Amino acid sequence: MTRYIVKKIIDMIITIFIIVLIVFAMFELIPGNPARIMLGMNASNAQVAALEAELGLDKSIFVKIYTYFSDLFNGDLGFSFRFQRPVIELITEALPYTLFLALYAFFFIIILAIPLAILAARKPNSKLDNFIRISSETCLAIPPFFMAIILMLIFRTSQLALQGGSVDFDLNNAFQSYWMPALAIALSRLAMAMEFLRDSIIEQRESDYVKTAIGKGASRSRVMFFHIFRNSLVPFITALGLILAEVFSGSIIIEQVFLIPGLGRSLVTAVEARDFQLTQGIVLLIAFIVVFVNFCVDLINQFIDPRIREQNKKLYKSRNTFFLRMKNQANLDSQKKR
Amino acid sequence: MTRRLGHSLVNKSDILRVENLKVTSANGAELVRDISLNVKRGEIVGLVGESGSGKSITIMSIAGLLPKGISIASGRVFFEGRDITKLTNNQRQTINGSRLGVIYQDAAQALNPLMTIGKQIGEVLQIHTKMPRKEIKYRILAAMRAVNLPDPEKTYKSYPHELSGGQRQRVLIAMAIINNPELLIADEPTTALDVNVKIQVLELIKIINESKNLSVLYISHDLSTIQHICDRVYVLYAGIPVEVGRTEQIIHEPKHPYTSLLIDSAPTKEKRGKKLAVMKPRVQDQRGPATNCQFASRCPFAFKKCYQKIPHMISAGKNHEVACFLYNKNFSESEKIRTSEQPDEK
Repeated sequence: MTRYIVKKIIDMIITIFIIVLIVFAMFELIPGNPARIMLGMNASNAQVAALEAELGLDKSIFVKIYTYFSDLFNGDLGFSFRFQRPVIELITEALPYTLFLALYAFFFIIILAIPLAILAARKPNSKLDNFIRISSETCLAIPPFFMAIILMLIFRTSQLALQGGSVDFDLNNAFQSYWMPALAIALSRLAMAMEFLRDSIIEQRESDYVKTAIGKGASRSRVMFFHIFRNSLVPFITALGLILAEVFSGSIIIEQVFLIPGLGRSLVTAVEARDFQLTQGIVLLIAFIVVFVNFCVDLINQFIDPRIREQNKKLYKSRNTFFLRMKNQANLDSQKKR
Repeated sequence: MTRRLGHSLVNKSDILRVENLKVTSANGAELVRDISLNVKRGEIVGLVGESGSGKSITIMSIAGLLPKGISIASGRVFFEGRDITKLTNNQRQTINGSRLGVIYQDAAQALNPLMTIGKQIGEVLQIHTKMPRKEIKYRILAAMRAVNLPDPEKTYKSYPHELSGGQRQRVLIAMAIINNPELLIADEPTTALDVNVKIQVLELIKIINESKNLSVLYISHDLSTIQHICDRVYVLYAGIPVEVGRTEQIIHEPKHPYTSLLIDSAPTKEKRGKKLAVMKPRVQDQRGPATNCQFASRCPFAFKKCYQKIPHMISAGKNHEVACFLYNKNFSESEKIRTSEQPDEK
């Protein structure tokens, strides 16, 4: 088990390394000289050259990669010329807003998806099931920012809405002031989680072990929660992992609508101002979060399903290469499908 | 084979009595047409028939586990003297697992893959008793030992996929007997097992039956398995019992043409080198009520009457009954001339 986690962490580090490289390459490839952008159109060539030398832009690509990584290792994400402050400072300032908003939305998704999925799965294709699915899919089709506007219109007279529009970030009343943006994100991402769980419950309910449980004399709720629901969790949690990543991206736009000074707003400002270092920093951070969430999903699923544990143990025990592992994974996937 | 006959005569009360059970599916097919059977205390009763004969549906209706869309149309099922066909969910929950244990066919599917073996066996006690945890665990380990599971302490913590097929079947048996039920229903528990494991499992069921005076209703399509453990056998065909008798009567003096064909088609040592009997394929529509002998179209002895009326059970010896016109004394031998086709009037 620990062996597996260690290997998984190594995998995660490799993935992050590759992501850093890609992000770095992306910003290298974007046309435009950062020094020129910083100084403005009127700057002389000599000024630009001087700034380039100061920023290390004139160095070879390898030196640049090296300095980039060594800086990163020291927790230095660069300097934002737009705000004239270190990127790391800006990120630590903005992150709590986004993190809170995303987790709040995620919390909404979970508490809405589970009861809705159980209700919908009760009688597949019944009126209730169709109603739940159609409305959640409609929500899926509406972009979060538009959903936010709809919510604002609906709740415009209520006191809650006024709080929902506020930008104060104060942990004491954050739950009150952020409910609307969080709900807007949650509603638009709810359908996926709900349908995964619903399908999974319907599938699991047909299993023979459910019959065994009923044969034991287990009550309906016991069968539902001790057997069906628990066994439906693996696909649901995998979906939740994907959704959490989407929730982060959803919050970027929502923050614009509600004027929340989070990562998303910083990112948009940075892109508009062509603030390379800040953009790079935020993109990296979001990538880290996604990778980390996937890591957590793997661990949780492993914890729930002993069969996955077993497979992973086998997979990681053998002294195999990355490609062999990919092949094994593909085999497992096809087996599962069958 | 007569080993426990005396003992079953001592205690004659029926633990389970099924009267004219009829089970239909949503599209009108009669899956079980008219089954009456009884199981006495301490008796092992076999239910044999080919796939589609309604044996699994019969026991599912007894255990209240009928799948969606399939329901009991008429008839009654008495368990310990109480009609259990119209129980509410709550009443059913007090019977299942505590008075009535079921062993399922496919142990690999019947166990929850995400729960440890110990927890799954113990769930029965958790539901039906208020025992403290320690005692439950003690009982689980005892039940595991009773069914000869190796290394109970270790198996307690393992998951279904870590066990072999035979071990999983033993787990199911342990689960079924842990709460000392009165009746054990076994739905082809040995189909998926190797021959030697199969014998072990059968022996185990026999031992439990003898030591706890437990009644068993044993379902199988395989007469050799039935022969191995049952006291009495019901032969089912298309949802109707066609022959009932003590196991040795059924095996050695089968009366119904279907039973004889079933026995003749099974490969045995004596029949080595000889051709086995082959039945005509079954082409039958089970929608609507039966109007004639269901086996007539495949029967080598079918005569005119067989296509016209339903034969009722008639005595064919002590404790032996058969539903076939061939044994009806009201027909003369000249009437019993084989006709291969159905009469035109239909």
